Amino acid sequence: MTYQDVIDWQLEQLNYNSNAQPSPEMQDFITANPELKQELAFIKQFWNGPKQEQQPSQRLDTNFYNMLSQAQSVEASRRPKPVTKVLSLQEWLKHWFSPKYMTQAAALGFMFVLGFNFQPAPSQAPVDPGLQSLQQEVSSLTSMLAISMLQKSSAAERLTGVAYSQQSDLTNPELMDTLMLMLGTDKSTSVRLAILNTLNSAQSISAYEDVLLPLAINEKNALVQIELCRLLLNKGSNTARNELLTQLNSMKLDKDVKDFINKINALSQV
Amino acid sequence: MKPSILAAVLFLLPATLSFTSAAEQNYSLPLSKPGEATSLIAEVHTGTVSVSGYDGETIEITARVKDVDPEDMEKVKRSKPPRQAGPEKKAPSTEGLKAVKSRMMKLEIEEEDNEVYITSQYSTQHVVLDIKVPRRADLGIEVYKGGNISISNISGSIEASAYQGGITANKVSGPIVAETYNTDIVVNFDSFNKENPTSLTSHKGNIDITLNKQVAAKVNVQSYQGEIYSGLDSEFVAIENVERSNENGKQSIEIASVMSTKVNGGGQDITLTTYSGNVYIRK
Repeated sequence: MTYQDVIDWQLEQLNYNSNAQPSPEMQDFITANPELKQELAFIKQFWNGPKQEQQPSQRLDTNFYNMLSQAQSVEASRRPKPVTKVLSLQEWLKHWFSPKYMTQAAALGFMFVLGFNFQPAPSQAPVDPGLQSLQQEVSSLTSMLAISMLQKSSAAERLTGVAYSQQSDLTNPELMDTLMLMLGTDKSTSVRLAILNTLNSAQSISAYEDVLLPLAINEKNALVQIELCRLLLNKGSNTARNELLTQLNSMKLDKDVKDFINKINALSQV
Repeated sequence: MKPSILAAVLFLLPATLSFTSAAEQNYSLPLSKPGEATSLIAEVHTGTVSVSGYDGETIEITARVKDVDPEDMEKVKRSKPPRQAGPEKKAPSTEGLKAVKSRMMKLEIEEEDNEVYITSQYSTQHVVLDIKVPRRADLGIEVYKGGNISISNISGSIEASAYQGGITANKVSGPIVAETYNTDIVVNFDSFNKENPTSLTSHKGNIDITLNKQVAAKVNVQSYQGEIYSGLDSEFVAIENVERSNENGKQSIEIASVMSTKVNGGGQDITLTTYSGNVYIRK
């Protein structure tokens, strides 16, 4: 006989409104288990209580919560209490460095290293086509805005255009053609230096070496000439670099440009 | 509204005009559209230009002439092609005559839809211009030889180039794009325009700027051989470009010659570039 058997019997009696008494065996079992007796009493009270009142009242609420509390305490007294044990350091170490946990940690680390080393290169990673399209559109708009500002009469606005071109990816041919044209013809040294600064951040200038090389050789403004040389020496092809140095070494140059070229020559011999 | 074009060509003869001993001429030019955007373009071959902003709606011009530096005059004479040899002519007699020092000045002034153009292309006279413009005016000033460019109390954009003289701007808000060759650029910002960048460039001159305490900007400095002196609280850091190439495992790091700092959290760019001059940033 179990607790549930007795409770089921009690519920059946209440359901059929029966006044039958439990069997002696059952009665003995109930007597031997006070908690079960309390629970049966709660069930009877709960079953009979709400039927006597039409609507829930304050007294009913109070009764209900009292009974609920009793039921919870009965349940708690039946459940075995967890035993908390304070582990010593040695035991703690043994627990967490046990073969089971060490194996799990090793497997996790191995998978992490495997994934890290075999992840696809950024350029090979799958790209969301929608995001890529949006990025291209933004870059195109930025390039158009840059071109528009570059054609203004005010040097400050042209500088803003150069700043916008820095934000684009410098692959727009029209934008690059505009920058090259302004590099050779703009009357403001500040604008030309800003363009050179922008070109320094371009991925490649190989397509424009045939424009930059004669500009660097024939430039009259020493500051601009130095920056042109720096750009070609940093980013130009070997052919362009050699041609530039050959031409400049044979020319009469501004003193500051000559100093710059001499330093480059000295570094190249180191 | 049909644009009005006002052109005035002034030829000054000291014998006929009796304004001042320095043959000073004053001229007041009303704007076609008072209260609207205004611009002043002044191109002077040899001279000094001072522009100040005020609360009026006319362009006030004071022009006078002073002697050109003798060394410059010699250069002008040497630049002229020699006369071809011909039959010897006898010079007219100057007995009883005295030499009259030339004070002729050719100055062209035009105004169209609030755009004012002032040009002086004379190379043998040093023209001194004092100009008053509405404070909001945009300026474009170029002086090839001679003296300085001085600007004060202007809230519009400024573009200035001086190849022998220096450039001084006081109580301005920018943007300013200014350039000198071997003379200094001195700018005092009382406020700062956030829409467009400012750039000051000099090949050998110093660049000296003063920023108002409330100015928020990103200051970029490049001096190849000079020193940089800063009174700002923030530190300058070198801008570097790191390029990693997967080809042959090559990596390169380029530490550029530009140093940068953010003032009051950063904002529009102020770029200061000089080859051998010093840079001074004051607060």
